[in-house]
Amino acid sequence: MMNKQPKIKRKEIALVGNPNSGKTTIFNALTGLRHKTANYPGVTVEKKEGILALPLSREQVTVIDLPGAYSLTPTSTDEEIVHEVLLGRVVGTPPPDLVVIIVDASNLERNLFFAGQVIETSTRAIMVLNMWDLALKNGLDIDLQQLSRRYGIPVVPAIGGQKGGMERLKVAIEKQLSLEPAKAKVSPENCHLPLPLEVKDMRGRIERFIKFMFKHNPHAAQGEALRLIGDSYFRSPLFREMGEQLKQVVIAVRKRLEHVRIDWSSVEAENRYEFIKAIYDQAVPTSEVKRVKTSDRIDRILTHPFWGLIFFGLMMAAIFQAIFSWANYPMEMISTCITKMSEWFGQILPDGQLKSLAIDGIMAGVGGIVIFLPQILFLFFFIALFEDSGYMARAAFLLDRIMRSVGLSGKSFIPLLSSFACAVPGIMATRTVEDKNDRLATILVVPLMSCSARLPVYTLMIAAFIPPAKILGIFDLKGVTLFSLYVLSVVAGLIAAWIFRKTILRKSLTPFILELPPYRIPQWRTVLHLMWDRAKVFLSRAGTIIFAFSIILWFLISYPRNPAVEQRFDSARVAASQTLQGDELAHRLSYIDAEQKGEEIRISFAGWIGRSIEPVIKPLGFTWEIGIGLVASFVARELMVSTLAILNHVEDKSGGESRELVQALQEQVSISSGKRVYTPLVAVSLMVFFLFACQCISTLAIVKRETNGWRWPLFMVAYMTTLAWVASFLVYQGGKILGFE
Amino acid sequence: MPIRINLNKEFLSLDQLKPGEIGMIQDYKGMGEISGRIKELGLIRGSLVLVKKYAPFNDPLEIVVRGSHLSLRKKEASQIVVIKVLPKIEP
Repeated sequence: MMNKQPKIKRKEIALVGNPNSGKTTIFNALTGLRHKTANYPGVTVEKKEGILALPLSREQVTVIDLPGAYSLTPTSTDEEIVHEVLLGRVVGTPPPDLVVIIVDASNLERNLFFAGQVIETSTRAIMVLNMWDLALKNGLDIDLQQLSRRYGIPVVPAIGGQKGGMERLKVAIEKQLSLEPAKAKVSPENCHLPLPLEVKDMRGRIERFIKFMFKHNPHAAQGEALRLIGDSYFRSPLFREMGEQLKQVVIAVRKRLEHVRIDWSSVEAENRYEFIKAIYDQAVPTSEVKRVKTSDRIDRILTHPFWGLIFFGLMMAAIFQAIFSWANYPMEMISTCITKMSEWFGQILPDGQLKSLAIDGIMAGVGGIVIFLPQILFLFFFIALFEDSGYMARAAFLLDRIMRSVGLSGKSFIPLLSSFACAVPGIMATRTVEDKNDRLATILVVPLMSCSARLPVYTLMIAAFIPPAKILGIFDLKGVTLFSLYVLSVVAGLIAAWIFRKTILRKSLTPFILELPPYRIPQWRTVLHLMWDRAKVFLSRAGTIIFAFSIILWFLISYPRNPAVEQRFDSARVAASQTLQGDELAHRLSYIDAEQKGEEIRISFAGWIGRSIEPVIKPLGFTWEIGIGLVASFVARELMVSTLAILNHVEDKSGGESRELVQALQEQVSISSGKRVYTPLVAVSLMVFFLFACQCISTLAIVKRETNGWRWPLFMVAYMTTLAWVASFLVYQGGKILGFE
Repeated sequence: MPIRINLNKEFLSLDQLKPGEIGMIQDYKGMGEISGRIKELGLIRGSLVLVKKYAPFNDPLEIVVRGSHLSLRKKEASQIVVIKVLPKIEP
């Protein structure tokens, strides 16, 4: 624990609550629009912070939005973070001065389970009964005073979505913060869980053993001791830290309890729900509870075994439409902006290294990823909409059985779907998959889904080398080729997932339990917030990494330089300007520029790499020119196209469809062998290679972040590259045997 | 909810109930084998569980317990021992 405190320290308030309790809407209502997101050290859980000005003193306090949790016995990384922060065990995050527990008032009994756990371990706490309007509508008449008295903390009703009750909550927060910890908890003995004597006794035994870990907070040790008894899979971080010894103590305790016929694995749940029942019966006296049936009625269709799947299919079609059709307009605008900016840099920067770095390195690399922002925004918009309306859980419910046949879970579907736009948001979306192995398997196959950065390469190759024939008289061969690539990517992904689940990721550690919350009309503010938060993460994280690697790659492409080559081209320019004029001169000069670029790449490190990998890629039908493209496309796949353009002295004006480039590729002859570089067979082999190879630095960067180490990203590169090589080999060599060219 | 306990007290696993049927949890198969999370979500001994529906291909299933709708896989549901209770009124 850190004891050192900065002189002026903002007080910290943590927001906790069950998933779907509307915690985020309260957080947004308290802190407004400006949030700071960072990661907790060592894990991939986001730490979301905002600032709240207290209503009377105007003192600023930090509000932390902790991930949703069902219990302080963690079953996911998210819940582990909640556990660690509340118990003050995170370096750099001292235990919060006040915990605000968000409770879904319309689902009070279940929500009080976690609330009770938190109250017992905190020094200051407030309970917020969110969705108060819904509770009233359901006929729940909750006695706030009674609840407050029984738990010994203030209880505030709220309607987070409409910012209702926020002033009252802020006042309560200020009041609590001003109290001494001993006074803040009105009567702590009230909220302590009644337990059978033997259990209390055994809890004490563990408590004594772990007490030294919780010097600052004796309440925490007591609650933790009880939870360790029932933690049958030994998931608590304490087991990791204290090792065998603690495990032995806990096992001994369990044996003792079994001896007196107490089910240790249910001890906390059973006693706590009994305690809750006593409180609930007092605080919610009305007996007639009307259940709102709207949700059930919607579900009659949306989770119907047949109509549910049909509706889901329609939603997916809408997403695809948005990503691949509507997003085109803003993408073109961004593309124009990037071109304009490059031109502007070209004008203001003096010729030389800096200009080259700005245009060929940074603008190409970063621009190449920023262009996907509209697609990603659309994608996140739909995901946020699904999440906020409650549909997301239904989708997982519908698809779980199907996804399980390949070893994934229903929650893996949305990440896989997102990856058709870009693997980076897809990997970010795997956070909703709780089971560690499920999640890893999903992350590993996400990059196999054919993302939109591969599309320019496909379109170029198809335009140049796939003949405009018809299959069965109706299907265009070009279209069929493209479609087959997508099918191939899905099939490969599913098979790969199945293999991983059968071999390296066999165990399922977390049971699949899904809450199907009542449907809610999505609130546009929440949806936009969710969308924007994720887009920001995408831009900043992918942005920084891509930025760095763009520079490295630019270096590889641009160095070493050869002054002799520069001189030769310079003299060619001089010669041209003496003999030619006007348009002809401009044309000639741009030709020389392009030729110089091509020559420079050939003598660069990248060119050297391309040549040295030639023996490896030769059996796939690739020459070293393609090798350079493969190296370059590591920054962003679509750089393959511009690299090919540079190598072919063609100005890459309009991305993939440049007719000049198509022609140049068709005619390109290898310098070393004198043969055509591309044949239709090579083109197919190259597309297959591109489909499977992990040609994407940003994917690897995000996988590194999300899996917290280099192990999985390296494994990913290894398996995908192997897969790509074998597949391309089979295509090329098989094609040759079958007589294709 | 007024209920009548099934007189012949036949023990079933939760996944043997049909949609619309209600069970009262009696026990779990194996000590500590089923995840504690199931209990923390309110599926404890004595809880009433309504089986709402089964997903396409009969798995997972949707249940209602303590007013919240949850989805479990058959594998987990088969570890929960219930007796069928007959509701006087559809919940």
